[in-house]
Amino acid sequence: MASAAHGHSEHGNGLHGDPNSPFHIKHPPKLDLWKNFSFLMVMLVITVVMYKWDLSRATGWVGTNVVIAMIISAIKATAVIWIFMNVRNSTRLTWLWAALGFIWLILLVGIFMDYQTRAWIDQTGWTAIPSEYEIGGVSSRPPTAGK
Amino acid sequence: MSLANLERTGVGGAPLGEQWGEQRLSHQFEDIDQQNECYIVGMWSFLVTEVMFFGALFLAYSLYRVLYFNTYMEAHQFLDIRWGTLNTFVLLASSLSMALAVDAHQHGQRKAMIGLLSFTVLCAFGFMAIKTVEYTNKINEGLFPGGNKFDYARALHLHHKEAEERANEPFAFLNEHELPDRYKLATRALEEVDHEQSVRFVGAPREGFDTRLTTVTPSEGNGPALAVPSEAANTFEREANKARLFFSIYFAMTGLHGIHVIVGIVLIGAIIVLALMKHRAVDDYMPTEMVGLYWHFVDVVWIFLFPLMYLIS
Repeated sequence: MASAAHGHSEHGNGLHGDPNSPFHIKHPPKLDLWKNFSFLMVMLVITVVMYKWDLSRATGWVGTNVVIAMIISAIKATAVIWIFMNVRNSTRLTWLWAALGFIWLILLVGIFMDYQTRAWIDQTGWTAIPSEYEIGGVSSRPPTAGK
Repeated sequence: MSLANLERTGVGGAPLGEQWGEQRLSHQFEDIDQQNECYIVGMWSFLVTEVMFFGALFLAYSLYRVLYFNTYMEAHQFLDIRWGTLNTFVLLASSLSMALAVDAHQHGQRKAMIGLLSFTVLCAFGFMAIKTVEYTNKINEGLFPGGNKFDYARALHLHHKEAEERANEPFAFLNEHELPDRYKLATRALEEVDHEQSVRFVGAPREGFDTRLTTVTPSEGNGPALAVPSEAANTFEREANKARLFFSIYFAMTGLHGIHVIVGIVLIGAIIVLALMKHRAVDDYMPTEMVGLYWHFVDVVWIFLFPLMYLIS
């Protein structure tokens, strides 16, 4: 219960708080931070190497390198969030908040997948014409007068 | 007890701890751990809004990339991977120094914290300097998508590189070079571009005829002659517009990220100044930790930006 005189050690005041409290947030040692940085440097090198090394010829799918690049980026981001931002030692509420943003992102991308089911209209009023330059084979021409 | 002692007491009159970095419990919290958790969850709430902010932009970029893949493959070659990699390295190093600074503050090491935060600010300035070089090159080559300045043909003409290098040195736009074969999409249209063809119209053009792409000139014979752009020029215009889209999103996203970096510099600078003044606001390590969370998030955004924009293959 809150009492008039705060600052007593029974309330967990002081530099480190109460280590037995379920809300206590431990801080990572310096060595962990340096190890994480080394890991991130290695992942950065891998990212650039993967760019030079074209895997789509091996798998036959043009999006292979993108997917791999995104997986590597996700790993790097997880490393930063887990160690540098200390989510590893944080409370469950913090985990929830950290996860919520990315869950929202997954929802957004999932919902916008419906673009695959519709024909792409370049600009308002422009007509689709066949084209060799677009993935769907469809380009557009400007609106004709009198429409 | 002198007046000076009265100033530096904790809440409720309790004496402060002797170590710098000691936290003070505010009266609305049960204990210090609950207070810390509250600060962190509050900061994460803000970071969730930032995820939404950048996420929508990433989605727009991804949509256009899938739909205009060929143009994006061509246009992204104007971005220099060396600068992008250096930027990523600089930001990751600044993330490390930020985390170490928070750690130093938690252990009451004031001078170490100020030094590490200064290094973080230095890295941030380095990032902005590299961005300035990149942006200057792009604007001078005619790749900034604003107003009438976008000139894709000129940019293609100025880029002369060998297979793996990129023409992003300062003042590259001053060098005139031949267009390499790699730019197949646009060169097909650029070579022998016939910007106008004459078409004879029988009778007068209809009312409301769209004259944006044609010029109507009087001619002898059966009515006015119209000049229409050739198919090649039309194709090139479409490609240039799609490249313009790429650069719009590129400048929007990296520009907004750059603004976030500048805000981060201001925040970290404020913490440095307060720490130098031994201000009581930074007696608690939480402000540093919260600014650290913000800074790590800025780094995460760049971690995703870099491969998406620079490393398209």
